[in-house]
Order: sequence, then structure tokens, then C-alpha cells
Amino acid sequence: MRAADCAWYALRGLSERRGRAAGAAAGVAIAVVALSLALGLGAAFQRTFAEYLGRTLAANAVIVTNYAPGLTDGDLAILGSLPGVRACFGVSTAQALVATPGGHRTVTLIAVDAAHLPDLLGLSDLSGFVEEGSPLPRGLGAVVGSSVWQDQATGSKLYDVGNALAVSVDGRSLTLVVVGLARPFGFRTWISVDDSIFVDPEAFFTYVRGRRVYQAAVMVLEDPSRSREVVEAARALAPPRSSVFSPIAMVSQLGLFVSSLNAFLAFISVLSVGITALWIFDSTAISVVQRVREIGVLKAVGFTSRDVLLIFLAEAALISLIGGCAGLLLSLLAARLVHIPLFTIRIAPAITPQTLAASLAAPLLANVAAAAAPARAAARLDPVKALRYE
Amino acid sequence: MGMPLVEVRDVWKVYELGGARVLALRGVNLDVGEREFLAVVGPSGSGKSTLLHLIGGLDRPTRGSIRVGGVEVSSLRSDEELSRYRREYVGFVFQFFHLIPRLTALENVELPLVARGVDPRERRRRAMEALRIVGLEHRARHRPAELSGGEQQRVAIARAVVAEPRLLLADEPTGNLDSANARLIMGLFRRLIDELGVTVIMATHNLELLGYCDRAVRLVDGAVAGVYGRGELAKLAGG
Ligand SMILES: Nc1ncnc2c1ncn2[C@@H]1O[C@H](COP(=O)(O)OP(=O)(O)O)[C@@H](O)[C@H]1O
Ligand SMILES: [Mg+2]
Repeated sequence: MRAADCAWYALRGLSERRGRAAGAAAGVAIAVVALSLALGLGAAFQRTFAEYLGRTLAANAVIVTNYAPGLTDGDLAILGSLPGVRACFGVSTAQALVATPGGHRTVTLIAVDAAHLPDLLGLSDLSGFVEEGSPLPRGLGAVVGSSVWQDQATGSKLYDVGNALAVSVDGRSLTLVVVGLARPFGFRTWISVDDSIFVDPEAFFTYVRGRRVYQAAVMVLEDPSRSREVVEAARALAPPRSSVFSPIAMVSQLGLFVSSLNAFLAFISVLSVGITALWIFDSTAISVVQRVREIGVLKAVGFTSRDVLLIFLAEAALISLIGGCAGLLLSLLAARLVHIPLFTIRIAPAITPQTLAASLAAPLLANVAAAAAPARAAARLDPVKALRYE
Repeated sequence: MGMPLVEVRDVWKVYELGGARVLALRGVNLDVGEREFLAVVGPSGSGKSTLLHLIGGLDRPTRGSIRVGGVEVSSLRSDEELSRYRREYVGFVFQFFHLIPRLTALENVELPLVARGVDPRERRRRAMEALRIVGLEHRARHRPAELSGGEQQRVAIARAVVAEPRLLLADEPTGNLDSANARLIMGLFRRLIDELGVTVIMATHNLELLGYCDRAVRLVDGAVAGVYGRGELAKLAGG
């Protein structure tokens, strides 16, 4: 018997048990979706997590925020002197409005000491910060985030180096000069670089706020493993209405969430692989009993026992392939729709050829194994008894 | 009669049924010549089906020897050897037709060629030719349920001869047919013998059909109780 004929005959056999075959195929589809999402999500999270940890600030910092009244230089000195803290710097921010072709939009003015700007951005030096111009704000010169200087819809430049940039803060207007165009950062740090305008702290404290206060303090740690201890000390010593968080702790907490979600998906997929396999076993066994005389005929016209075995195994494999293809399409669809927002990052399941192959192979193997016992019984049927069977 | 196609020598078949022994065949001797149309008659339970199954390699005798065209069938042991023997030598026709309900007439006829790995175009051509011989090429696309009993049996006969076997084994082929259809099938067997050169062994208890046969063997309780040549068949048919 040729392989193609085996597949053809198996397909015709499935039409005999259409309902049960469709049910089993649906089970396979669920298993494939759950399995590929679990694998895809795990892989995506691990990659994003590793990337996040690779950025020194996230892995190695504790952040204290206090929007009003803000942190003072005295607060920074206290936070900076905590054990395990290597350095501490302040970040001042203010909401501002910028004129756009369609009206106004909100941006964040960020003022930070030039020496600490790379730490804040998660860069080793500032050479990668801008696409054009200077990376350092100076006087009224500002470095502008990409969604401010670039039209998001068309990509055309709204501002160029040397242009004046009018902003309005708390109803007062201020005209800055663009000295640098930041390159697009996307969701790469805990601050949104693209929606920000970086200004010189001296100018910020002169023209925007009358006082030297900071909305956030970034404490750079000597050792990431001490973050819990530093968080506790900072909570005790920071002024009232501050909040303290450690990006690494948040990441690992979300990691816990993702891994329990993963475990749940894996549980569902194992369950549906198992149930489907039982179903295939049952359906194949019923099919063998219903087709005893057919098996006798096949043997009488020259099919070997091995041919009969292969036909029933092929039926199980076909159910798996049909269900698997349906599951594959659903997985690709789900990968587009499903994502988990993690701070400013979206983790979407990455459906790679490997995860797809793994999630297709598992139900296929389980189902062929489940069909093996009834298929072997079919192959072993005595043709004389099968033909006499009423 | 020259060299016989089938030689059955002292064949016994014993079934063990929960301690009880059933002697289905008790020392049967029989020769069947090339292109012969042999009837095996006898009461129900006399061992006709058993004899056909043994000759067709579906089962193995408890004792004795069966040779078909030089092949010692009784010594074939493995499933592989028995399957190959059935593919090369034998076509079966059954009382209940045993067509596969979900396949069309043409696909049913193709099955023996599928087992032989014949490529699809070639086997379609040969299956159509076999359907033409039984006069049913216009029914090729029909499923068994859409055919009459007589038509179903003719499709089954096309299936039995499509791979050009030397031996056609028919077990009560007219048992489920009216007498007009039964005579049609007998005429068809005669034509297959003349046109394809097959040898037909038919188990039947319908004595009226013996007029179409060359010879008849009568089994009683698993043993040969009489052999009847052309001249004696009419007498047997009469009563
Ligand atoms: N698988 C079997 N197990 C036990 N006894 C059997 C089996 N097959 C047939 N027999 C017995 O063998 C005898 C011959 O049966 P069979 O060849 O079918 O006779 P016929 O075809 O002439 O009616 C009967 O007594 C039958 O009951
Ligand atoms: Mg019988």
C-alpha cells in the first residue's frame, strides 16, 4: 500500500465517524492553542525580562516618587546615604502643552543633571541618545522626544535643530530652542522618552519651578540583591506621600504572574491533550468494532495486517493534523490579539516555528499512541472470524 | 484434466470451542482443474465455507496439505506470506457482498489494486474495465446503498477479478439474490472462466444452479460424500 493511499483511505474512514472525529479535532485545536500560547508567552516574557534586566537602571535602581510637594536636596542626601546605595540623583518633571498641527498635546518636561542622564536613559553613554544635534540640554536648549519632533502619522519632521519650541506650563508660556532630536525609544525604559522634552535643570528651576524640588529620586544600588532592603529603608525615610518601587521587584512579581498564567495554560493543554487522546482511543476502538467485517474484507483482498494498522493510525494522525492546523491558525490569531501589559512593555506570545512544532507534535504523538492499542487489535483480527462476524 | 490448479490432500480443520472440539473438515481430498467451475454443496455446517477459507489462505488447516498453482498454501505462516498469496492468486465473493458502504462502486473495485500499490490512474483504468465486464460501468460513481442486491454482487465480483487472480472463491454468492439474479451471476462466472481463464470454486446449497457447473463435490459433516460429473449434475439438481 502506498502512503498516499493510506492517507486517502484513512480520510474516507474518518467520514464514517465524522462527529467523533470533529470533536477530537476540536480537542486537538484547544490543546495546540493553549500549548503554543503557553510556550510563546513564556519565551516572550523571558526575552523581555532578560532585556529589561540588561538595562542597568531597571536592574539596579530603587525609585522614589513624590509629585507634590516633591523631594528636596535634603531628601536626596538622606536617600543617597542609605547603606547599599551607590548614588542618588533627582529627576524633576512637569506636564506641559506643546502646539501641534492639530491643536495641543501634553508632554513631560524632564530635568536631570547631565552626569545622570545616561543612567536615567539606561545607556552607557549619550552617543546613542540623539539622531541629530546635541544630546545635552543647555540653557534654554532642549532635547526633544521623537513623538514631539516627528509627526506620528506621516513621519515628517515637525521640529528641526535650531527651531524655537513654544511650551506652556501651568498657563505660563516658555520658548525653548531645539538643540537635539532624540531617537525613538519605544517602551524601553520606565520613563517615556518619546513623549518628553529634556531640559537643563538650571533653566527648569529658573523658568518652570521656583524651587529646587524633584518629582523622583533614583537610587543607584551597589548590588541588585539588596533592593528589598533599600526599598524598606527608603519607605521609612522618604517624606510623606512618597511612593517607593523597585523595577526589578516589579518585574519579578509580574514574572510570577506570567509563570502562573503559563502553568494554567500548560495545565489546560495537558488536560486537553489527555482528554483528546482518551477520546481518540475510544473513538478508534468503537470504529474497529463497527468495521470488523470491513477489516476482514481488506485482508481478503490482500491488505496486510500492517496495512490495517497503518490505516487506523493514519486516522488518528489525520484528526491530529486537522485539529492541529485549526489550532495553528487560532494561535497565530491569538498571538496578535493577546498581550499582557507590563509597566510600559507589552508582552505578546511569540509564536515561533519551534513553539508551533512542539505544540503540534505533542497531541500528534499522544493521539497516535492512544490509537495504537485499538489499531493493533484491528490488525490482529482473524480474517475468517471478521468475515463471519454479524 | 491436465495439472490441477488446486490440490487438497487429507485436509483436517479442528476448531477448539471452550474444551469442545469441532471437526469442521475431516480428511478432505480434492483436485480442481484450470478453468473449471466447481460447486461445493452440502447441508449447512458441513464445512463448505471452511474449505474455501483454507484454499483462499484466510486460515490454515490443522492437518494436511493444500497446493495452489505450485504454492504450498498450508505451509505459509506469516501474515506477509499469506497476504501475498491472496494478492497473487485469489479473489473472494461473499454471500453478503461485503462492499464498503462509504466508497463508490469504482473505489470498492479498486481496493485490491490499492493493496498492491498500483498507481491511481492505472488502477482506475483497470477497475473501470472490471466494471465493464460485469456490465456496471454506468454505476461506477454510485455507492453500494444506491445499487440493487444483484448489482452489488456484480460489483463484488468485479472487485474479486480486478487483480486477475487465477482462482475465484465464491461462498454462497447467490444466497441473498432472487433466482433471476442468481442465473445472471452464474452466466457471469461462466464468462469469466471463458474470457479471463479463471477457475471458480463456489459453495452453494442452491442445487438448481448446478447446471452451470462442470462438477460438484458434496460435503457431509466435513467429509466428501460424493463427486458428481457433468452427466450426474442434472440428477443432483433434480433431487
Ligand atoms: N470459528 C469457529 N469456531 C468454532 N467452530 C466453527 C468456527 N467456524 C466454523 N465452525 C464450525 O465448523 C463447521 C463448519 O462450518 P462452515 O464451514 O461454516 O460450514 P458451511 O459453510 O458448510 O455451513 C460448523 O459446525 C461450524 O459451527
Ligand atoms: Mg458457509
